[in-house]
Amino acid sequence: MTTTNVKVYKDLMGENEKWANETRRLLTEKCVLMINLIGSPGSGKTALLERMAKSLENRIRFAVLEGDVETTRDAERIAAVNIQASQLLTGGACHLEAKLVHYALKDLPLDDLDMVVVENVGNLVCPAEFDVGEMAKIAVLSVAEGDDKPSKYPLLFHEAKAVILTKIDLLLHVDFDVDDCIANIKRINASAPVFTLSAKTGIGVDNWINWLHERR
Amino acid sequence: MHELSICQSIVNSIQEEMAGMDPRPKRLISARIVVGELRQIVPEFMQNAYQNLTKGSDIEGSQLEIKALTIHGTCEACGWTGPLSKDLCECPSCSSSKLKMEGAMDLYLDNLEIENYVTPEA
Ligand SMILES: Nc1nc2c(ncn2[C@@H]2O[C@H](COP(=O)(O)OP(=O)(O)OP(=O)(O)O)[C@@H](O)[C@H]2O)c(=O)[nH]1
Ligand SMILES: [Mg+2]
Ligand SMILES: [Zn+2]
Repeated sequence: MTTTNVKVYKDLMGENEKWANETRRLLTEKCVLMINLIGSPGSGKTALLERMAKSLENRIRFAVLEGDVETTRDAERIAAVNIQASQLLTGGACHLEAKLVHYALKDLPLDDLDMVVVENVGNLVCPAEFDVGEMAKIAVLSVAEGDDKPSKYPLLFHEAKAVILTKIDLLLHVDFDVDDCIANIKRINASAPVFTLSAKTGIGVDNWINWLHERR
Repeated sequence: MHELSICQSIVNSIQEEMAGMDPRPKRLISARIVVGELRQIVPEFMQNAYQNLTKGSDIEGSQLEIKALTIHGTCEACGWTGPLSKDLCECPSCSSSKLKMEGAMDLYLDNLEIENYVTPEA
């Protein structure tokens, strides 16, 4: 038996990256910002979007791509606050990939938008691995989840361009050391700003919105 | 989990490479992938996915070798370079946080070991 070793060196994310780059090209051409919200199930991603719809009052015109394993509930919640939303169903997969996002994006009226927000499948791990063509991944962590999460799931916090620490109205009821948590985030990612806010009361949301304004 | 979708990409890439080989290989013995240390890939899940996805195909029975790649760090403050552990975010030499990581998110098909058809002497 004769055998041969064939050196290949082929990027396994190449196909996904191709769609992601195509998406970024389209967004750049249309001057539209796209962010990718990633956080655990129930961390408060949809609630933040509902709050942004109220606070922004069209100062940033945005649409939402809702990634879920099943049901159109989140897209319905967004439509109820008068924001255009499409539901992307992954049919079991734990994350969104670039091709699906690309085709959903092409159905949006990009000429009339300043921003597209992708709400990824609720999951602190897998979505961080996949580029969907966004300009910035945003990590969403709620104080109910514990201040050790950045250290336990470093990849998301490493990849994020900003971190949202939400549900701070609950700080009285949970053991969560905000300073400690922010220090841990800074250790993983020194340049990402951390926005502490509550989607319920609206406190802190302005700082986050100002950051989005600067990005446009 | 996401190992399955990445594994599909591995299988597709292997089959593409094999189809392009001249002379045609007899069979695939093993394929090696290289995985950056920040990639959250569970080797057992990846092996299971590989078994399942190759079953009944022309590469059934081949081995998947998963090689971990250590992160290469460069300090932009003092110029230190060296291997970096994934939970280290400060320069081991000057404690600056201006560290550049290389290879942390790498994920590529590295090598294919194939069995050749024995070519009859001309
Ligand atoms: N007290 C409080 N509750 C919040 C806040 N934000 C969200 N919630 C509650 O947290 C729960 C989950 O919020 P969602 O917005 O559905 O969370 P999600 O991240 O979109 O969840 P998935 O889409 O399932 O991953 C809901 O009951 C919200 O009312 C907040 O700032 N404060
Ligand atoms: Mg949601
Ligand atoms: Zn240094």
